[in-house]
Amino acid sequence: MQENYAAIQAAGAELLSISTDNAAQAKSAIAKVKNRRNVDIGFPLLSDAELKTIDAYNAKDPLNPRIARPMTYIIDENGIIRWKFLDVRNGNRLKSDRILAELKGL
Amino acid sequence: MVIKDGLNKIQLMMVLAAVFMLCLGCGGDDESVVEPDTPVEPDTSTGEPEPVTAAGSLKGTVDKIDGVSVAIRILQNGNAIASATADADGNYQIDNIAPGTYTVEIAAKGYETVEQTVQISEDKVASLDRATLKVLEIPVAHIQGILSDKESGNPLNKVRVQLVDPAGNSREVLTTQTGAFEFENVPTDQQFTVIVDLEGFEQQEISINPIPAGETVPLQVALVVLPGIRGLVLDQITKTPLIDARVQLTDEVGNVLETPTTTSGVFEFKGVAANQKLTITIDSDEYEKQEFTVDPIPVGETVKLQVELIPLNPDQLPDGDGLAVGLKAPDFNLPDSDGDMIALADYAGKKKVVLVFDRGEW
Repeated sequence: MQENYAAIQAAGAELLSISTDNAAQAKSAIAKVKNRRNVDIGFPLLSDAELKTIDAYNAKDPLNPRIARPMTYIIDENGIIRWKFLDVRNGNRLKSDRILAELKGL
Repeated sequence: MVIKDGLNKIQLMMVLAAVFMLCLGCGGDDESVVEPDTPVEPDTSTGEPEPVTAAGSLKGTVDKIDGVSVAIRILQNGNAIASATADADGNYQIDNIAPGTYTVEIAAKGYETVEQTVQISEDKVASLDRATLKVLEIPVAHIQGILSDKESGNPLNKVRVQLVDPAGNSREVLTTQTGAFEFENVPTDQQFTVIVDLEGFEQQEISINPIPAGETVPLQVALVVLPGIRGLVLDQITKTPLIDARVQLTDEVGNVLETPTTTSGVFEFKGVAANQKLTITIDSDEYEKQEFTVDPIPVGETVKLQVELIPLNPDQLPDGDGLAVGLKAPDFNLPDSDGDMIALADYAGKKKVVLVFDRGEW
């Protein structure tokens, strides 16, 4: 995802990630990626430890309600959800190309 | 889904009101109601057949018969695919035939029909042996006619016309550019039915009494355009077209037609039952299913509709399936890895947001 962060920004969008990780876990995730692949996660990793936002987006994983089910939204400038993608559980994650294509289509 | 609560009823009434208003201007030739930026697929029902991408040709010669035209017909499983008339020298060629095995019928009034099997291959011209037609020794009669569109009077080209005898045997021919068709050499002692069933038109069946030997029955067949319905399906909030919404139309008798919306959110039914109350249901993932009725439509008219679907509420979606597209995204204000607060509202009016929910613990 981080590889295409610049492309997403160039398409006039911001990328935000939300999980139940706290700030320390997010920091260690950023360090891990930097170590392993020498890549900077440039986009914000937001912490929703209490799952309030995750719940508001109906994104609690029914199989493990303590974490989020991977899913991606595109929200337009008016705050309207314009696109949604439910990732296959434990399967392949959504490709950034697809997000870019959807962004350009809006 | 049956419309359950009061709010939905009101929303449905709004849709019906929109339908009614759009119908005030409805008529066969009005193209203006569906949104101008929504291209509606061109009408292909009476035009040329779709070009065959991989195609071959057929040519041959038949001994010429003075004063009698010779028809060459290509059939597959009894269905007429293409036809031509031999020229003054008895030569014929038919192009743009999809590869396959066909029966070729060479027929002329008063002569025995010759049938040959031919294999058509891509980019090749199949040649048939020279044919010689023998004079028929038994008495026969003929039927010929002209097929047209009743409203415009224009001839209908390349339309299948069927001739059925009381035993259920049938023959099929195609109309020519002038709308002409001919069944030569039919038995004299039989009744027949001529059937024309063209998509988008009312089916015609014409009974023909036994014809005296040597005579030709002339027919004028005019087809009446069946009513049509064309519509645009939109998200009620974003007003964007909904692609692949399932549109189902049921007439009073219970016949069901079904079509998905196109990439422009458009659906079209050609040839719906005339003068019947029609029920339409439109169903798209994560939207409330809409069901409404359309008043009976007379033949020759097309009704245009615009239908807006309402995104499902969060509690109508399965747990963990997220929120429906078209809904307002809930705001949030969450700390990033440095503890700085980031809110969705920070981007309002400025930027789109790609919001990724993740399992965490990378």
